[in-house]
Amino acid sequence: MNSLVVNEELLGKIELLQTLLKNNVAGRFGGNHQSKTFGSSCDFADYREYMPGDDITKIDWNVYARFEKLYLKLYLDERQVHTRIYIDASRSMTYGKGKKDEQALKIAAALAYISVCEMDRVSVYAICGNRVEEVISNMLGREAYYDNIGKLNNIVFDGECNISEAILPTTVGYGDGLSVIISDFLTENDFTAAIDHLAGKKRDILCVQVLSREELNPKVRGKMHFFDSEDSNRFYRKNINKEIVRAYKQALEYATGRVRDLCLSRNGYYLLAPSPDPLDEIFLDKLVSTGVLK
Amino acid sequence: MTFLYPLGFLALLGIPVLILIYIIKNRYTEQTIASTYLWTLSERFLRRRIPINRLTGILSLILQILAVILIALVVAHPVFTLPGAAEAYCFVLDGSGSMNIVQDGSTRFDAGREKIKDIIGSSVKGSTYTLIYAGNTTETIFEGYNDKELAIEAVDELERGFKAVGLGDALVEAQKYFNENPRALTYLVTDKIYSESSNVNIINVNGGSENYAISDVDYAFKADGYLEINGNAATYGSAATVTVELCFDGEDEAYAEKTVDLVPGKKQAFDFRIEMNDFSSFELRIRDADDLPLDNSVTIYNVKHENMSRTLLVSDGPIYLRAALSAAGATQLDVMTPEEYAAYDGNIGYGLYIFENTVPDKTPRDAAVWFVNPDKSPEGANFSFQTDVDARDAAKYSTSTKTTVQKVLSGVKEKDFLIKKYVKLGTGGGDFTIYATCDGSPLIFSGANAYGNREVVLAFSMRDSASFTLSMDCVTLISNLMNYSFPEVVDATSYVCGDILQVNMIAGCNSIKIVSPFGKESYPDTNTTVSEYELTEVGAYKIYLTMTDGTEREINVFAALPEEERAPVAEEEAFLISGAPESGGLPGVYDDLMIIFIILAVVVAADYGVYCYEQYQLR
Repeated sequence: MNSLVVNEELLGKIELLQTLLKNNVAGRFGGNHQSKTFGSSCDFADYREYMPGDDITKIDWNVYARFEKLYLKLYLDERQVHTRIYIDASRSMTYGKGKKDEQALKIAAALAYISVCEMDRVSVYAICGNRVEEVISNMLGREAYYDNIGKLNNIVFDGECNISEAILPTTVGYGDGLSVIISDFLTENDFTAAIDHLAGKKRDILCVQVLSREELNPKVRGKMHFFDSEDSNRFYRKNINKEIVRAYKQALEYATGRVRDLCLSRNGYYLLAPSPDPLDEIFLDKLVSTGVLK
Repeated sequence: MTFLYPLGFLALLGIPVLILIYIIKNRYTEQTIASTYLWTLSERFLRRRIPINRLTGILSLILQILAVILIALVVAHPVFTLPGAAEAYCFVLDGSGSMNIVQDGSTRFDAGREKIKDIIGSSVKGSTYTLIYAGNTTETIFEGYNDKELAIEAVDELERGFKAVGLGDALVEAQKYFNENPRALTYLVTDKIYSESSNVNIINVNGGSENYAISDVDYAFKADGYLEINGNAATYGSAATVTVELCFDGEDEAYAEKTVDLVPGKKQAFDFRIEMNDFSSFELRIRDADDLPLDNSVTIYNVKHENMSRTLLVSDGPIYLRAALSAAGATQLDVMTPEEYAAYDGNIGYGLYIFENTVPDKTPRDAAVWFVNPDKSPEGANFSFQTDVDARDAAKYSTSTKTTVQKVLSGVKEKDFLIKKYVKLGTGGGDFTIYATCDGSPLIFSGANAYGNREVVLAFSMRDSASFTLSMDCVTLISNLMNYSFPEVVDATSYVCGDILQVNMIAGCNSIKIVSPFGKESYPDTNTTVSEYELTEVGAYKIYLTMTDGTEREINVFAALPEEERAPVAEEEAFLISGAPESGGLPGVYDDLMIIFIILAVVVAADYGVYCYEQYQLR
């Protein structure tokens, strides 16, 4: 059981941030996200000639007085989106000194807070093995946030995680917001299908790759026999030397690049979040510069 | 192959220890990590698989095992036998004076030593070495040594000789060794040219060809007040004109010089005539440089000066005796009254004490003593006082043929002499020599006193016997008695290297030290009347006599290089070692550990290299 402590100071800093959605928003009414369709918000969009059947209340009579033609005044539409956050709940997230699980939960909590501040609905899922477990469902509003966010502590990080196998069968909505996958992506299992699936559903995608400092820059040297935390049958036995560390770093670059390139190619976002980097830096710097938040 | 210390192989027990350490050290550290995915993936990015990376551990172990084996081998010390590879070497080294001729900065003797050392150094281990050295004496320095270093050390310690040495005795020794070891290889290292030789390898060190020499130096004080110095100069190489310099009393600056034309094979006389009536020493030297500087100078010390010593005359009226002593050559003469002498207690450091008309309570212990006209017998004296007697007849000299009597009366011309009175003395039971008597009583006699010093008694008053005292016979007699009671330490000051120096023990002398020209100190026996000492070096010897009062006398003598050793090229007839030499050498030994040490060093360096590479890889 994790003990997530919501940092009030951080929440204060990030509550004014907004998520920038690339895809046309097709959520429910009542949100803060501007849709590409015309709607009933206060933001003026355009004029259009009146056609029979149009709502006559939308006719701009001032324009009729000047041009003696009927024009409708169009306004932008604003929609409420559904932010879905998927947290990798495999054992690899909790093993070692990095505390990647804590970092993942903090990022999820912060992202959820930003969304609820934008009047969006937020759902948080834990990917456990081949399935997705709903941890928080359709959370809306700050009160609900504070009521439900503690449920993140119920996520048990154990076993393996197959992102694609888990996400593909789930209902993800169509074009109604951001899907966030928080994982270390250190798996041979396929996660491309899941990202493609989300992209196909016109959802904005953000992959947050959480890696510990030890994974980013291993200090270990000498004769080592590494066991995989998720599967003891997987092991790596080598005399770790300069050459191998160099190869490891190349492998790391390849692995992170693979996730990043996949996201970018699917018009998504990618964020490498070293653990335990402070969340201020991740949210106020990295996510803003990436363009996920503004 | 054998091993000197087979127990050294116990060091091989280190191998299992090494393997154990390797196994323990080589264990992999187990660790569970979040994911092995990246590590496994890294395999694809390994540039190339260098075999040494996999082998560093085992390579290090192999090298360390090899090092342990080599160390065990070093400790066990393997010895290889090489049949017939070694030799029995017998070296005969000429140590004569001519071996001091210099060429290219080193003497023939040094060159010869180097040749011998080279042969020993390059010989196969297991060889034996014998060295017969014909130096000041011909002796076998070492025989049958099989230790190269020891043999080389002994060769290094050889002292060069200066005498004229023939190699006959060395040949006898070499023949004796050859008879016992017919396989021996004999090497004769010499500067002589031998017309005939057998069973010997002659190593000629005949370098240097120019030599000038001074010889036959003599001097004489002439009646006209001049000092005349004569000598010969010679060249043993090519004809030359040389400059002979004369220096006095140790001065380096030449007092006079002469140019002498020299022709090979002929001595050329030269002389110096100088207005001078005394000198301490002079040196004749050839200013021109040659290959043998030892014979370029000769120092002559004045025997009279060298032997001179201090005399104390205790008398209340010393006029006659002092005149006689001065005339006899006693230049270092001090005079005291009996009262002044009585103020002293014990020895006061004179070589001769003369008591005239007075007798101390005790005879001085530290030197010879004369009693002139004694009125009693002091403690320690070896005569007894009886009475004063008026002379009835003339005093008569002894006619004894005893050597001492002949020496003391040498030059005395009269048969008898007149005195008015004499003192009748008893000579006790001592060993006395009587030189003159009066009325049958001993008048002038000598012997040894209770302290072993010479004692001379003149039993009459010099003042009352003016006719005798003022005669030449008196001066002669006094002079001879001084020589007797105060003997010369050395009879001569000019010698040739190889001569025997005789050092006379004088009264009051505690010890004698002789310092050779090259600083070697010797202490001749002082328990004999005459100590003998062989002069084996060329140059000035210093003889130090330490007297009982702590004072020291210094006497110098000079030993010249023998003339027969002056020729740079000398020919000898033959050096023949008879007998049939046997073929075949001695069993050689190869036990040099250098190769093993080199391999060990390479192995250790390689292991260190592997270690460094490993550490570099683990950075």
